[in-house]
Amino acid sequence: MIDAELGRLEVDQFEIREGSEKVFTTRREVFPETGPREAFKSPCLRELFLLFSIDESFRKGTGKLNRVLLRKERDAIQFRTVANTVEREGELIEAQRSKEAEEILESYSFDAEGKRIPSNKGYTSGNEDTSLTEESPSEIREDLGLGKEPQSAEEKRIPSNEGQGSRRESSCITEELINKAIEEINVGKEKELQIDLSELQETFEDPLSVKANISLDDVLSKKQKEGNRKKNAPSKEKKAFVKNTVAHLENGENAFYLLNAHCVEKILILVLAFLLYNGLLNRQGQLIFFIDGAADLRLAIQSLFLDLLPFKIILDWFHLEKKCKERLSLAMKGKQIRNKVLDHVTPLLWHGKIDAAISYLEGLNKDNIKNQEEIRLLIGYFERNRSYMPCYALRQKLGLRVSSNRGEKANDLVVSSRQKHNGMSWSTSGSTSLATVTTLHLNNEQSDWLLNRKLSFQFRKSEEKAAA
Amino acid sequence: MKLEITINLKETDGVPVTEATTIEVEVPDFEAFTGPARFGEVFDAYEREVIKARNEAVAVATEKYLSEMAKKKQSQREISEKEK
Repeated sequence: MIDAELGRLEVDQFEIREGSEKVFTTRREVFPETGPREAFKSPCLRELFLLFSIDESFRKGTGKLNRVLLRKERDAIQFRTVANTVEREGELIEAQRSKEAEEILESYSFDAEGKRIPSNKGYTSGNEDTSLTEESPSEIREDLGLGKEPQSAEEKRIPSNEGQGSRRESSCITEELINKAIEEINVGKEKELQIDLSELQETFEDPLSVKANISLDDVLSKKQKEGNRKKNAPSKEKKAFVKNTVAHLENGENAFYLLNAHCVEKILILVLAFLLYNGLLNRQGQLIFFIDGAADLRLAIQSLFLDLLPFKIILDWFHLEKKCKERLSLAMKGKQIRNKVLDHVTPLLWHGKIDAAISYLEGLNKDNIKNQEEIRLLIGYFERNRSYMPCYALRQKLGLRVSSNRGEKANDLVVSSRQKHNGMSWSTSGSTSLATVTTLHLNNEQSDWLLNRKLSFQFRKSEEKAAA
Repeated sequence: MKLEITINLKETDGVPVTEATTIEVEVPDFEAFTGPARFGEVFDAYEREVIKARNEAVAVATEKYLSEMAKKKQSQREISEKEK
């Protein structure tokens, strides 16, 4: 039986026997083999299953699908069929993506965990001039906050793109431009908030020649209970969650690609394979990660990329501000005092004055504090993330990103909008599979996948998304 | 291979109401089905063409049906006006 957008098709089966032995059967040799009582679903129908499942519940989506196809009673599509099909497609996509990633890593002399295998061939072959070794180890240490050697004004300049990998002759962010931006920001500002170029330890990437901007974020959805609640069990069990990690990769031309996985380590392997496959590791420019400050994300990035290439991690401004609000709410006596402290601390952080912010917090009047421990924790947070907190004001003035909002939005589109509703709970594989199918759709890869079981693994222009 | 969809609109006594609507599309030859591995891809090419043709044929036939209905309404009105 074939279930298609055209309808449910009963097809006669033929077989040739020689004695009692079957020598030919159309069931296996013409049509794809399916399970008992299972119909082969045409790519058109499977595409509809995916399309009607990614925005709303399987039950509602199937109801709409049955109305569109005018399927009733015996011919009606069951929502469980749709859910199972989507889950299976998701698993197949994940398996294919992992397989492709492994092959890419292997071809560039990396093992499956993303570690380099000593070899003559590798990602720098044929492009030594633009290889990552151009950026000095001190710059790597600085980016990771492991060293803070003072830089001359000359060193602060964005490396120009004169290598083989780029046709651009010079960076669009020059020393002159940075100085001009600083002057403009400093106009009318009190001394405390004025930016001094010599104090800044960071580099400013040319937005048009970054290798990639990568926003990473975790998202949790409610986990299904393993079984029925036991008798006499406590009424409120500890809430369990299914974790999904989403990566939004963007190049200098505003093209993007989304990846998802059930854990951080897995997604970073996929990110590395994507960068290798698209020749981005050899390209001049920086690799920039935008994160929300989660330690597991930061550590996983460092563990995979530290020995590989220079990169920069930027703590998302929204999350930094949120953290300040949360900690100060717990620390200060009353909303008004909290707001007063917040109004002083956030501009300092926005202007990259982390030491000043710490000094201010340390010097707070004890009478206004209800929980000194929270202040200590906030200062600890600043210290830990100091290397990832740039001068946000200057970055924004230079037109550089200060936020992981694209990653947050991707999370919203891939997981939250579909999976986080009242009464919804998910199995680990169900949640990840649905997120994978949504990612496939957002990357506009569904047609190629359904027909050829292929994934493009390439950036997609934003205009294509709008057109789609 | 070609697939032809013809739609005839008839009165209950079998008299044609409009001229027949015929849409013809190219569909994959039987030889294109080389085995189970390519069945989905080839069938997809078939299904998309057939759905397109079906929709086009039904749309054209419905246009003819509605035009004919409008003509009938016009002549009915003329008759009733004359009677007045």
